[in-house]
Amino acid sequence: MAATPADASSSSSEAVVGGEKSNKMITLISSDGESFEATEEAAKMSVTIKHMIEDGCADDGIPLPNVPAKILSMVIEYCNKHAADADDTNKHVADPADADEDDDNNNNNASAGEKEDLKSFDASLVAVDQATLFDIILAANFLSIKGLLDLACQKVADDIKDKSVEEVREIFKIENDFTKEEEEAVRKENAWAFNE
Amino acid sequence: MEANQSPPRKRPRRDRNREKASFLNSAEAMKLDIWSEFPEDLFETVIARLPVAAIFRFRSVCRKWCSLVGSDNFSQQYSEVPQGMPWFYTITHENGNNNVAMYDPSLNKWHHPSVPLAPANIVMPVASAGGLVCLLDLSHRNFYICNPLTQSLKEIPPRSVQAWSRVSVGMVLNGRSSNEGYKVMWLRNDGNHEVYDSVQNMWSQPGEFPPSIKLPLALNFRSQPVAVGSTLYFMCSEPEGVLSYDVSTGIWIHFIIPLPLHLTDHTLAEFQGKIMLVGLLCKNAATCVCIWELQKMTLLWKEVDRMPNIWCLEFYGKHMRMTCLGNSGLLMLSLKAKRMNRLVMYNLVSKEWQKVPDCMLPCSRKKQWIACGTAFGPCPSASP
Repeated sequence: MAATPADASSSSSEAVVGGEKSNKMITLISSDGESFEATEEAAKMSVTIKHMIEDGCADDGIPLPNVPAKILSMVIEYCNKHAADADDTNKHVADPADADEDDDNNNNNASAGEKEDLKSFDASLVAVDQATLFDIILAANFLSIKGLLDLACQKVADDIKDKSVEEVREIFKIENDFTKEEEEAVRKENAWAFNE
Repeated sequence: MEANQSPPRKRPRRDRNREKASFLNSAEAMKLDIWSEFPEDLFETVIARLPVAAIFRFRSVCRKWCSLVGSDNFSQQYSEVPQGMPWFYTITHENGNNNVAMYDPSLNKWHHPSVPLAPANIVMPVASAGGLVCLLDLSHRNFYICNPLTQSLKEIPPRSVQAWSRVSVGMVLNGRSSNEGYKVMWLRNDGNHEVYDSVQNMWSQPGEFPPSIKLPLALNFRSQPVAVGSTLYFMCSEPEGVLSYDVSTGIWIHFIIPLPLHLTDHTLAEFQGKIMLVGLLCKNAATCVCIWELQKMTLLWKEVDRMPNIWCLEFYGKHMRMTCLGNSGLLMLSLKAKRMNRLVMYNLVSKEWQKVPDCMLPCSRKKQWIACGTAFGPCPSASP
């Protein structure tokens, strides 16, 4: 959610971090032709889209031929939530008048609750079937949304962490290119990490 | 059933379907072919987010995954992942060997490196920073730096001062990670001290010990110094207090801080930049482990927690000794009495006490008596 002009002018001593927040809406078009609206602030969480906006290519809507509608709506949901969080953090940090301890505690308590909400939102976003998770990763990679990419990759890591070396090779279709001696040496060196 | 009890609320369908999907996800165990299309350049992002033991296990997948641990991109990715609890690194000296054991709190397990520790002489871990552990031999002259996870080890030039007396050793990073270098410092009771700079690979004497601070010092050698940023804090007595040295500015400060009463073994610890004290309180045959936090304004120790009574009962009437192995965020305490050695962990964040499983030597099923060690933050790419 973008800050309204009223918020920005509520305190004359408030330093506005990161320039003005515009209310401009950006249109994003999925691979299957569906249009989605997002605030410029949220859309800019994607470095790819940010560059397009800055280069002036965004005026007629941004086509995203790699991202299907189902995934794009999830991506936008992520950006909306996290852009709002980043905005709140900036607000709390930006105002020097708020620097006394009581306010600090209140701000921390408020953002602690918000952080919990954000965490459970993130968790449910990636608790999806494999195909969807895979598509989210491809979209986040293409759109350069670091937070979402890290989140989705963390989910993959969580899913493979208890698997055996052979299972991992099978999943990602990775060829075992060690020579027999090399493989033995690597296993021996890292033997401590296997279940003893 | 009460009259005004409402029927249980059904969770929205969307949530239930999502839960079902994630259960299927784990049961299906990632069998779809799509994963073979996983972008190559994202493997580092995934692997950096695995538990440390899994990162090393998966080095056996293929040559690329094996060398990943050494790549800059991986190192960068790993440094961005919020780190979990520190591990503990201990060395026992059965049969005149260095027997290394590492405690992994995320798996609640002891790991035993397969490759023997390189130096031929007996060494003890004395300090750590950025995933590297500093080892010192019995003569207190020869220092080694190692990454316990890869067992890569480097001997640093011996300190120039020839005498054999005991030294207190601390270690700090130059920057945010060991890539930017580190410094090792030793301090003796006569005020003599030296700092090793890993970038220059040499020891230097940064300055004179300030004349305003009374010598000789009475350093507490059983307490490892703690590091907060570039400052090292040493525990000392006569007078009781803490001596701090900022490695980047060379400034010494002596804090006179009276110890709590009835304290026997005690060591410094650190938690989120705060200086803590961990000690054994012995009063009328009752023994308890207590945690204090240093109040900076008053320079007094304030008790913030103590071991649950029910655990302390085990030590009643016994002559206990306590060694603190980990002293940053997670404490590992070795509590010893005649024929008894308990390992206990205290999490400074969650304020939880936890028993640590016994450390057994891999081949002998014999329980190890943990004597010395240090905590370290596991960092696969740290290089001595």
